[in-house]
Amino acid sequence: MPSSLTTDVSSSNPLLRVKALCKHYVRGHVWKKRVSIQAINQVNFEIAAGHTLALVGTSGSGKSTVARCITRLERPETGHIWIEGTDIARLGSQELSPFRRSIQMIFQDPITSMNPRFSAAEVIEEPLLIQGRSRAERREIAEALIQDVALSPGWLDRSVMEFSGGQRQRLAIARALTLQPRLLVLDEALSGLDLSTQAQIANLLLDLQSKRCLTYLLISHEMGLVARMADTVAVMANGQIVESGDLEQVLTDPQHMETKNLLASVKVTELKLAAGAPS
Amino acid sequence: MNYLGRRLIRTVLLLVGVSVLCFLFTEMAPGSFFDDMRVNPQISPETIAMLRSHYGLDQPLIVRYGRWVKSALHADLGYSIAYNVPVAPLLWGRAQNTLLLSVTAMLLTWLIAVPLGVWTAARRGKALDKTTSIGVSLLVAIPEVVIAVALLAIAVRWRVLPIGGMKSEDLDGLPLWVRIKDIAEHMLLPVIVLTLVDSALVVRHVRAAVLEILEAPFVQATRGFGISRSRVLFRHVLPAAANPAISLFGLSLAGLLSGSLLVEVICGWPGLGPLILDATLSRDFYMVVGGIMVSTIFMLGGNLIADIVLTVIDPRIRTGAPDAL
Amino acid sequence: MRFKTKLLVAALVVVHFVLLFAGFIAPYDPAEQNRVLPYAPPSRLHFRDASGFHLRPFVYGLKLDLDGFTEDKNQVFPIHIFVRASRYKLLGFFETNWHLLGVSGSGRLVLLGTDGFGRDEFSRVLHGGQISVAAGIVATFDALLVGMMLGMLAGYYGGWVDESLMGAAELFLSLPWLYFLLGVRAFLPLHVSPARTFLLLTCVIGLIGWARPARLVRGIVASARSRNHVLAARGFGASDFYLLRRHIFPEIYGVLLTQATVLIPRYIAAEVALSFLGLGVNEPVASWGNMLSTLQQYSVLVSYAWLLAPACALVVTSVIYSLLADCLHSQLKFQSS
Repeated sequence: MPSSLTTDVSSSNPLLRVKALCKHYVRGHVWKKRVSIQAINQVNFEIAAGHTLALVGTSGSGKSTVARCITRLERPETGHIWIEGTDIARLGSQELSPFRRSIQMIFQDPITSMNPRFSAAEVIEEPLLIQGRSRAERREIAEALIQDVALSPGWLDRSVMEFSGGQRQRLAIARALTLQPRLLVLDEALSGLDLSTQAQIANLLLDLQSKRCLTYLLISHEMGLVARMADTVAVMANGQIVESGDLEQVLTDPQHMETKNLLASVKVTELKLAAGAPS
Repeated sequence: MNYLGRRLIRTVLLLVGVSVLCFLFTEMAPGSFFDDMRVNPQISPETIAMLRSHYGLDQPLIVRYGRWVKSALHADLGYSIAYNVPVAPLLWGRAQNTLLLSVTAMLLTWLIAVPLGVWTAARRGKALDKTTSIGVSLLVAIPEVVIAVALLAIAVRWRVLPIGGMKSEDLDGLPLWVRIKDIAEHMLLPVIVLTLVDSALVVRHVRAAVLEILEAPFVQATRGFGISRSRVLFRHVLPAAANPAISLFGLSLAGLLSGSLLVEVICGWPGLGPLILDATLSRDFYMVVGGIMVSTIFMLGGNLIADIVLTVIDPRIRTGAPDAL
Repeated sequence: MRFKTKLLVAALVVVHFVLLFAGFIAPYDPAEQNRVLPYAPPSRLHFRDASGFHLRPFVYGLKLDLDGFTEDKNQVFPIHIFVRASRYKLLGFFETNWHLLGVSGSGRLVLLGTDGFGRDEFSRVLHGGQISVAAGIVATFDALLVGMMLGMLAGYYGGWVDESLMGAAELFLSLPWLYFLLGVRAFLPLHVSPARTFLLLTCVIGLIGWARPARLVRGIVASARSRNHVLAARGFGASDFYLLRRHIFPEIYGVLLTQATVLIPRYIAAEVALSFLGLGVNEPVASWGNMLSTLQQYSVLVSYAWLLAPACALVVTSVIYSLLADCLHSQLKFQSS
């Protein structure tokens, strides 16, 4: 169930604001011809605090690139990324450090996003370890968080390999929450899971969102999920945003071809049902 | 720029790199050919200085390198200090002998090892495979020196083959086939050693490559169609195995060239090996550098030939498809 | 497979242990010459003599006459355990003169015969092994250290660092290694002290041998670097050093271990080859290589078979390492699939 906060997209103090974001990749060696691929071009959007923006599109539309730029795993050439007022688009790694805590990402594949040699505790505690917290503190936080994601603290010392896909995503969420972020980027985070697990995790996420006042950037190609979780939707194609607006509006009255194509594969009535389903 | 063109340029760059490395090492070396002479009180320092400038050893490194490159392009690799003759003809003569040995060994290896590799892969787990595996493991483990010395011991003990040298004396005037037979007899021992060592490696690689292909989905599919086993082997598996086999060619040649040095010295075959060894022991600078360059040329040449053959056989490389090399 | 690995490792440990304690296990000093007994055949151990069976084995004295050596039954030398004989330094710094086995008086216990100077072959094989095997291990360590560092740099940073390092690796791999080794050796002083030769040798072999491990390490690091768990850690603000240490390094030690078992016997063989050709460790220090070089004289090769002992020792060591390398290789493949 989308949150009942204001659905006005351009509220005066958005948590995240992105303007004119561009990123290209270069392929080729030193002596071969270099080919430049424009991944995203002039992307603009905003997310208000506590809201969920869904970024949808087919594969190759540039959604993941946006995610990586926002979390600064990549560096955009031009454009601005304002987090609570500060432009982090081209900050150096030293200056970026405090902002790393504000934005965290959950990856699509729960298998590869954690080191298979780690235990659950090590996975969850890693951000704290990197930030230099003491062992006792890390353990305490890990125990609290693992319960927040509905797993037992007795499992903290088990190897990550022993957890199922859905459970590992819960661990990933716990890990992401250790630094108390404001924004979570969910990069196809539920795509690798079966439908019932998806539903469970979606519920967990919605729950955490209201409890901790989190803001989500949901990247997905599954419209059913989008209907469940998003307040606003932006549609991407070929590296640009082609349509954006409230969830209701985009679902019932799509303007752009791309949006229509995406919706064509799902029955709108089903979506409306999902949108209206209790959380 | 197509693939072969790039390979060629790479080869040339590598050759240049090797020559630079050689010269750099000599610069770092604290000794020279004339060290022994220096100790001898009968030779005055002036004579030594004159000899040095005569051979151009007193020039700075860059100058020496530049002059060497210039003359190398004219196929003149400098002067041997020990033998007092130009390096190139001496090297070339010996190089031919080494080539004869290496090429024969390589041909034999491939004649024996490739079929053996394919056969043991096809009959995996059976008696032949098991015994071959053990034999191969042993051969790979035992250092070449030991194999050479052991076979030499046997040959000497039982006087089976002529030892040392390439030809017997007094053969002029005898018909060609007698002379060839004579050379072959002299060549047999070193060739056997080299073949044994190299085949072990090749058998292993070929077997692994063929096994991998046998387990590939497309082969399983053809089996499913009911195509006979040998047809599958010849029409589908072998061509696919050609790629790794030919890539191995370059590696083989490298090992063969390095290995032949030892074998030539032990068996007394007059190839590059003993020449370079003597040059090393007497610090005959230009000879050593020339020898290294020649052997490097052989190796890189071998790799290039392998690449050419590969390009002709395997279309994926020509088109630069993503899952090629 | 695990059992086989353990067995091989145990065998290797035994071999290295014996070599490490060469000074103690060898009855004689390897340089001790005895001109009275050149090319003596291996001592035959006897348990039975005219007076019956003895628990303690003994050897007879040797008489040299026109046909070679014969046993002189009048001279009986029982073998004792824990004898005092020549001084040596156990493990390099602990001076003592205890030896495991020995005979008293003018007897000689030559378990593997003697060489042309009357030196005990058994002792020389043990001491020579110390040199040859140590050379192999140190050279491997050099090559792996350099290879690992350069491979990590190339794999982690990519771009031109990667291209130039891998280009250099290809250069080094294109060299016919023995020729190059000879070449490098040529430009070093011929007559250096054995200690310095040893050091030079291992450095040079390591210098040439870094390329293959570097390529392997680079491949692993390059693929590990872009894995999501590394990216995630970067997202938490991890430094390059942390990522290399915590996430990437654990991936490479499987490869390093396998490479070590492949390279050690190869470098031992390289030292043997070089010493055989007269370019490695020189007399009077024994190494398996220079011991085998006397066999280049055909007469010696044929008549005195016991002088092949260093070759046998070399083969045994190489085979154990080689089999271990195979085991580790298949274990690694099994794990990563």
